[in-house]
Amino acid sequence: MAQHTVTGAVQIGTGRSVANIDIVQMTTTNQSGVEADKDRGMAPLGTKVVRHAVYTIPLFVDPLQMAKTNATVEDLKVFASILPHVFDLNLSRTRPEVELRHAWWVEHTGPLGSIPTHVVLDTLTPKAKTEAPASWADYQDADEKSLAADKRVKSVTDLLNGVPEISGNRVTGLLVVETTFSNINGDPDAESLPRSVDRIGIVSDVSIKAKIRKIAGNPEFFKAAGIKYDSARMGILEQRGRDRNQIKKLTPEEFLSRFWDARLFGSTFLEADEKTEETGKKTKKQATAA
Amino acid sequence: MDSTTVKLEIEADFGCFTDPLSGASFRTYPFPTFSALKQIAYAIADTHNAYAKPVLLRICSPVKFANYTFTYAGPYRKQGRAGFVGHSTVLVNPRYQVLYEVASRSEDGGNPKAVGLLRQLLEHNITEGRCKRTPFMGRGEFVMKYAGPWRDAEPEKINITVPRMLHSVFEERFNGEFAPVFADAKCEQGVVHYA
Repeated sequence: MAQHTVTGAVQIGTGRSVANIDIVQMTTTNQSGVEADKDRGMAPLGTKVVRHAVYTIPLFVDPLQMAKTNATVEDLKVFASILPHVFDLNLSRTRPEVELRHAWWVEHTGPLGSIPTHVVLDTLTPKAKTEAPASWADYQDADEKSLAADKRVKSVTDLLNGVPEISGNRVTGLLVVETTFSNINGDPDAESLPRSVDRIGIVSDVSIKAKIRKIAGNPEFFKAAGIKYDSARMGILEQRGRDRNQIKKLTPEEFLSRFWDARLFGSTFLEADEKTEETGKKTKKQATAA
Repeated sequence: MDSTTVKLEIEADFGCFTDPLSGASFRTYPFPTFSALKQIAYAIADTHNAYAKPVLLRICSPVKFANYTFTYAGPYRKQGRAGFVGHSTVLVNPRYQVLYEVASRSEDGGNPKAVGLLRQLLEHNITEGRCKRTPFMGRGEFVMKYAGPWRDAEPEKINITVPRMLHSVFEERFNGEFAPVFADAKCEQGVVHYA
């Protein structure tokens, strides 16, 4: 295998808070022994969290890309089934109160789309009623009925109420997440401070995909959700413990068939061929494809 | 507007049009490259015989940068390591109005109907919110919060010169070879003209 470069069928955008966020210090103590020679202690633990925020995270399904990555309707069903649990099943000490308020799944009437994305996202994004909202009650929730009544839309579903029938149409989705005294996504460049730009909180697509992959790689989730688990197709490319040498031996078809996240989220898996390893330079053809 | 031009406005929370000279710490140019704008139109509609080339850009929001880091746990990480942190400098709240000229892919000018067809297709898709694949502001995760017809806006009064800016990555023709082109780029009073 020389290279596998695919663009996924699902695109997750950078999430952002609806209103400005306040970052505060949350200090706790750990009374269990944390040093090698002690069996008890009072080790202070400090983390920065966001006092309260509502984040929106957009996502898109590109049906035309599904054919290129061999993604199937079953793959999308798995994806849609995971979304409502993406935070519940990824609990962490730094995000004790993260509640998914909505997981909107808006199906267009065709594969190319039938309604502008900004119309869907603007309609489904909650509006802050005050300058400094401190609870969910301080937001005006979306009026999804007006969107559902729009003839340009086939259906509007909140995945928290169940997964709809998946078809080959374009989908625009929006996760609406409420967090309280939590850090939904730390900035690795700032000692895990909650990500923000100009006091607007940010959630990277990478963090959401990591959480989704973690659930998708667990067969127990499929049992609990009543979804058939096909181990031959549910491989996760971006995780620890992969055997790189084994992956190198796969044909492009085998690669896509095996890795669920490569089919949905895309992947660039490049390996130098023999000629390149000798010269250390890319051939013109490789550089073009990359 | 003549019969071969199309207008598109795009806006996003973030954008990144990476300067390849910034190496592994991705740093964005202050405004999009010719190549990036061409691909945005390509994501909205394309045909085999014609393509949309950007000729003018109006920068309708202040040019502002922010650090954006991400944790990478993909195949390029060192074996045995959990992942690494990638650094980048990105644009914040970029908003652009772009004027495209639809041209034939054929060197002899091709069939004028092909140009007209793509122009109509682009205009239809831009108005109706259709696209071949989701357009984005330089990086896949920086999706548009608006992609549609021009709205009321004036270019920011900014002047920037970028020496040796990446113009395009591939040859202009369909399925062109890898042939990066660099050229000086100028933004005058918030307007960029692409050659």
